[in-house]
Amino acid sequence: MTFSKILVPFDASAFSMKAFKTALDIAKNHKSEIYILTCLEKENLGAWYKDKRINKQIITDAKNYAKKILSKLENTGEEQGIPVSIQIKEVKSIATEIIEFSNSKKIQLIVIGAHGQTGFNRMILGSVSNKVSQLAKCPVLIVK
Amino acid sequence: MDLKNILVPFDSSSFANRAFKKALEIAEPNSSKITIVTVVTGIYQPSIGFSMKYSKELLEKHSMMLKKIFLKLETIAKEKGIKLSLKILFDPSVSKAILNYIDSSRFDLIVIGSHGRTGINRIILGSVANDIVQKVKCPVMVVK
Repeated sequence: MTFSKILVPFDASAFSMKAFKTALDIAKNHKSEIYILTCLEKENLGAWYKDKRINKQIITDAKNYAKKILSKLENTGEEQGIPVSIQIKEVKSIATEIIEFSNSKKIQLIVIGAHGQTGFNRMILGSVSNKVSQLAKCPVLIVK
Repeated sequence: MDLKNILVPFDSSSFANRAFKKALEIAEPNSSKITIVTVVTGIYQPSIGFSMKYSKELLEKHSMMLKKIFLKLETIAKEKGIKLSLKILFDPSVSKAILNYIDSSRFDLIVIGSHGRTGINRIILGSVANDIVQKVKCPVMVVK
């Protein structure tokens, strides 16, 4: 059992960049594929009570922005000869989506940053990485 | 990121064995050193909890056992050409001892089993694994 499929949940934070770099290092040694998953939270956008079209606008903007950043990562992966496939999803719960995705694709290693966009307390884990590390069925590498 | 020094907290449970195998997989291409750490907690005495006052016989028995197990691991590692070293800690609290040891010496990666000898609820993390994942400052890999 080797790490032929690696999942990197990505939210463009510094921690997730670090996680992507370590994933690249591991992928080089094990000749693995990297899956990058970005989840956009559907709710909690703050504008739903005014106009639903604003919500849609925000989501499409976020998608375009995510595509831009992820295509950069795809390029860096290609330069080093590692196949990188990107995935952008609109979801309600980020952590459950990450776990479902890893189960459905039979991911063998999840590389995740200790924190995401919100939290920055260095002592404890962020909520998403905590949930993923507890519920995932494959090994989880937490990068700090 | 170099993964030259890998630490595997080991309690000879099935999860710890799996963690050890994963550590070998990572160590092989990086030609890294693996340190195995075990904690001897002492004998439980209801009046004072875990006591560190050992009878000499028991201590000898413990370390004999540990050395036997370590020899087995070493033969596996030698086949793959990986250096292995053993560290035995004496402390009533397992997670504290491991955390202190990690702080005192430098490690690039910690590979830990999600559960130890007590719990086998596959959904959540064990207490020691949880404590280490939350508090340690270097990357942690949780193996399930």
